[in-house]
Amino acid sequence: MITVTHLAKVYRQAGRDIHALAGVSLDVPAGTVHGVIGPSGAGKSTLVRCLALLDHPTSGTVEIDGVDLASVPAAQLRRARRRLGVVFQHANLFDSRTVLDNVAYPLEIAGAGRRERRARALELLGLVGLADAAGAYPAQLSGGQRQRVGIARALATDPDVLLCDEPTSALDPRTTDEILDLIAGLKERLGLAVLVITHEMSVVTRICDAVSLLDAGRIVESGAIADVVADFGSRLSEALLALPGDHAGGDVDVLDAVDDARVPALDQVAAALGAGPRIVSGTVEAFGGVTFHRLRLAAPPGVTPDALVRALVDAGARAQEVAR
Amino acid sequence: MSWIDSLVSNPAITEALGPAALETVQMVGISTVFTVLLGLPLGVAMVVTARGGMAENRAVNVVLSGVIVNITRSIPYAILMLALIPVTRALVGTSIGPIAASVSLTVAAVPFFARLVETALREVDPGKADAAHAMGSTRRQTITRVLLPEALPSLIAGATTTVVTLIGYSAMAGLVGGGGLGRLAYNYGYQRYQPEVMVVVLVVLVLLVQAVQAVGDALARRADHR
Repeated sequence: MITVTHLAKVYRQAGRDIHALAGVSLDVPAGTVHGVIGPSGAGKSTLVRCLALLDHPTSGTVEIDGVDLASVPAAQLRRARRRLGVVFQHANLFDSRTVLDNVAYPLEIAGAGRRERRARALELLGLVGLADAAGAYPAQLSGGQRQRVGIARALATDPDVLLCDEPTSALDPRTTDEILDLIAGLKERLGLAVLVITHEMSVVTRICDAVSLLDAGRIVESGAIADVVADFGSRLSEALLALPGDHAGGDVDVLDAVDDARVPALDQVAAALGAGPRIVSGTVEAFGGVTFHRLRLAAPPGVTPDALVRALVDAGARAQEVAR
Repeated sequence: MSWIDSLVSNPAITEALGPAALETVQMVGISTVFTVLLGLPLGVAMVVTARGGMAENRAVNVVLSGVIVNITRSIPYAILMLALIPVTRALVGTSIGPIAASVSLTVAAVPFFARLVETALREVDPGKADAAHAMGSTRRQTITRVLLPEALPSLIAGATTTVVTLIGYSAMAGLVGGGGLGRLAYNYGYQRYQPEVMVVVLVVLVLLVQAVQAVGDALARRADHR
């Protein structure tokens, strides 16, 4: 597992201090995928570089199995890094090496023998479904295949933690799904703690067990995915249960887990108000085994949004007026 | 004596051309070997000590890049080879002959090649060095096992350009006692006014450069898996 505590990074630029990370704490247990999502400029790149110790954090700790990577001396850091595999957005494979030699690289610098390296690299390539490509050069592969090789290489030293930096941002939608499924499968098989840094909400929806929202160098929302979605009105809930289309004319949002929605709320509301609200937009999605729905309603003529909210709450639904 | 007869009867061509060509190859060969041996580490050092480099060191970088390389490169070769005559005497005991000429050729070509090495290494995607570090590589491993192999096609192209430049410089070195094709062209083609010697030397030089470029291109292609 990986535990990040109060991680901060301050850059000095043009005489001013830039707080790229202002105290980030995360906890990713083995066998789970934690997503960190945020808009560009939120500090995602700095976070990745600090977690991978490519940049040294100004303060805070990055603990993997109790060893703080941020405080060990350089020689030990090289050893400790083997517990952390990094998957990069553009795979960052070495073009001068074959696929097999790319995957074998971490073992090569760790001093493993030639035969051992080859056997392990072939095993890893089998794991990511690319055993046939061992002798090819990276330039001969597709983007998705290159990312598979990147994942195999990250796993070569048998790490406990996989850090994925925008692993699918350079891929088409179908390949994205394949890579995400591969990561999720490897997490199950190898008991990895996976930390995915991304700007794509679909990545969170597809594979994350927990998610944190990074904004301006801080984690502003965080939690298990079902809890975060259930937190009505939160930015992550809004983003994960995004409403399609143009929302003009909507007055009231209703959010419910389908399992909770035993009460036919809309029927009750229509009876109470004498007229049914109009459904402007809606979305249904499953998170962590719970199906959520979110509806945007327009109050019927003669009914204020406020009255509609009260009627919905009386009927047992969670509702709130949409901020304009 | 006609032009054509002279081509097969003039001893400057029938007897002196072969040894002169060999001297040129010798000069260029020796200086190429030393240029690569000295210029490669110099280029690597310039990249590594640069701002944001693996072992950032402003003072060392200024000395290497700003002083050694820039100053040497701003001296025209014709002047550099004359200025270096005492150094050459001290190093090889004489200032005459292809081996002596190799000293000034090397001094001129090292900073040139080092700049090309620097450019080649800078062209390597920094993400590759990041990946190497993230996997626990030492700086030395990152340089020798990742950066240099990744830059190999560009390094070969740079070495090829350097050899071609050295062939050009070697003709100048020939004028002050270095021997080789440069001296042949000067002594016979210019001073004795035998234009056929000049033409033949030019043809040999053109063929030499073409051959070097072709071999360099082929090697670079072979090393390129991108």
